[in-house]
Amino acid sequence: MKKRKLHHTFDKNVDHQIEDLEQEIGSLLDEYDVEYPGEEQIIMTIDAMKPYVPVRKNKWRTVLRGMTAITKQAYQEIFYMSSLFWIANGLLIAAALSGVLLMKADPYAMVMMFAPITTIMGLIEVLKSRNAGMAELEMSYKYNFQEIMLSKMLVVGGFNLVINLLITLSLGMFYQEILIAKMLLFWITPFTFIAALSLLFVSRYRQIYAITAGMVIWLTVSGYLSQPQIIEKLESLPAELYVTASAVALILSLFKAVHIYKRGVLYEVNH
Amino acid sequence: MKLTIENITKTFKDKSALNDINLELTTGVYGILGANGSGKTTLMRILASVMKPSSGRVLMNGQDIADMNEKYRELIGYLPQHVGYYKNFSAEKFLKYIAALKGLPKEETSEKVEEVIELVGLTEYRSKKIGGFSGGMKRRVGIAQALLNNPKILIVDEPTAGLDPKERIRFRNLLSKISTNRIVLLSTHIVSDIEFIAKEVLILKDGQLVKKETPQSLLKGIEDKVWTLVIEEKEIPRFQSEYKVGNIARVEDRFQLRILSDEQPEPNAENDIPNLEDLYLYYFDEEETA
Ligand SMILES: Nc1ncnc2c1ncn2[C@@H]1O[C@H](COP(=O)(O)OP(=O)(O)OP(=O)(O)O)[C@@H](O)[C@H]1O
Ligand SMILES: [Mg+2]
Repeated sequence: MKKRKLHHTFDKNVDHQIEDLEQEIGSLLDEYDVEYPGEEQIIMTIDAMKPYVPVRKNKWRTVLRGMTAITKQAYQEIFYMSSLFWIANGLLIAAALSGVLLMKADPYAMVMMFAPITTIMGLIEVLKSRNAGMAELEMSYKYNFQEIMLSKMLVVGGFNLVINLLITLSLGMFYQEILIAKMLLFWITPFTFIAALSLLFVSRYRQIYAITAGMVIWLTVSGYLSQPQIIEKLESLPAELYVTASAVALILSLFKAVHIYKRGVLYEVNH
Repeated sequence: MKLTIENITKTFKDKSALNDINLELTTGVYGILGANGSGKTTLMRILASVMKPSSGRVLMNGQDIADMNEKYRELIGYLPQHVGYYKNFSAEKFLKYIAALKGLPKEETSEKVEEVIELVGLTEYRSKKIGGFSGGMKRRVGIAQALLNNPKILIVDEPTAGLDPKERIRFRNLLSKISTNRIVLLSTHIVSDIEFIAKEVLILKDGQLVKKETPQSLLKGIEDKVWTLVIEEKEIPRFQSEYKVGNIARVEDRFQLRILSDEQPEPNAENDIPNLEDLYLYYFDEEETA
């Protein structure tokens, strides 16, 4: 307001007033003068601030470190899986092979049905620590909760792969007419699919009975799928469809695994 | 070695469990005293990095423990208040497994496991399944796993709860044996657990740190506030409603009351030497009797 007035009244008096005002403001501002700090003080300040400076994290290094940790721990976990898990899987191989060899079941239906069972059973091992009340302890270890869980999943998934390959190869040896590639497609698809679901599941639930439910659901679904007419339909589907479905499930699994690793699991420390 | 707790606050939904805690811990034993729900476990969980504070941070030698991540977890040993173990594992197998989770080098594991088993006195039971252990023995397994990595910071949440007096004394002796060169945090309701081994006592009340002093100076603070008085049985209710009354002991056909009061409650009441039990009562009586 004042400024506009000054523009069209060139009054000497006003000029004086402005000068006075400037001086007054200047002396007022003197109060806020800050002395330039000495070298020593600057260094001290920098040192004091150092802990507050965020460390720049190398994302890839973190992921790589995590993967190494998980693989290393997975090797350890093998020795601490319950013997029941190994026995059950031995029985599984026997059942799959004898189903095809002795009972003349459709080999493709058989591998599809058996493909993810190891993983579903393995979830019991993965959830064991939560059920035993070990979760809070695990969170305090060097290999933390997520790493321990993912390494167990790695053991279970890896073993599942080995079993499926074993079944495929042994059936391929017995029956010359079996198409190995087709067999692979028939089990890789449900396997990757269930693996993705399992990762989703372990990050959310901790009740073991849910695994039983999962098992029942899978057996019902696969029982239905292995009816001759359904199998025929499934076999007529283009291979691209299986490949795409597997690829999607695989990518989902990887995403979920990284997500679990980074964000931790939905786990409330209970009182 | 220095653990700094800076403006730590923890809120659950709308419930505040810790309110602006500031603390600096150096080597030695710290006893955390507090009534049920005062925030002991919450504080210890944050220090054990199993829970994130709502605001504030914890620094280990000036470095934020959230940034240190597994480097920090390598330094700690933690025994939660409620914990379970793999029942089908023997003590030895369990500890070997935990050693792997703590990232101990393979070649050191056997020796270290043996050492902690010996330290907690489970050598005889090393190959027995944990499922069959008594409460006290399980607690010893708990301490053993916490010690495996030779932690610089040992956090034990109510380790003596539910133990019989003999086990408690055992535990106290063990703790004073292992407390050199570490920061030890121990929460308890039982003041005698920490009376002689704690460097400082931290008193938590409704999520607030109300005291952090040596046991001696805390006791000095209530020096002239502990009274004993012998009265008739019928007078007991009156004193109980007017004062904080501790021990009541029968003396022949009358009763001796231990009273906590800033002023002399009766002309014939006599001053007595305070103990930590009195201290606990002095700070927590309202909640306990309410
Ligand atoms: N996970 C949680 N979710 C909601 N509220 C919680 C949770 N954990 C603790 N609280 C609340 O925070 C407060 C402090 O709890 P905390 O367990 O730390 O107390 P405490 O001193 O360990 O008690 P106690 O002596 O019974 O072990 C309590 O009121 C409790 O109800
Ligand atoms: Mg508690």
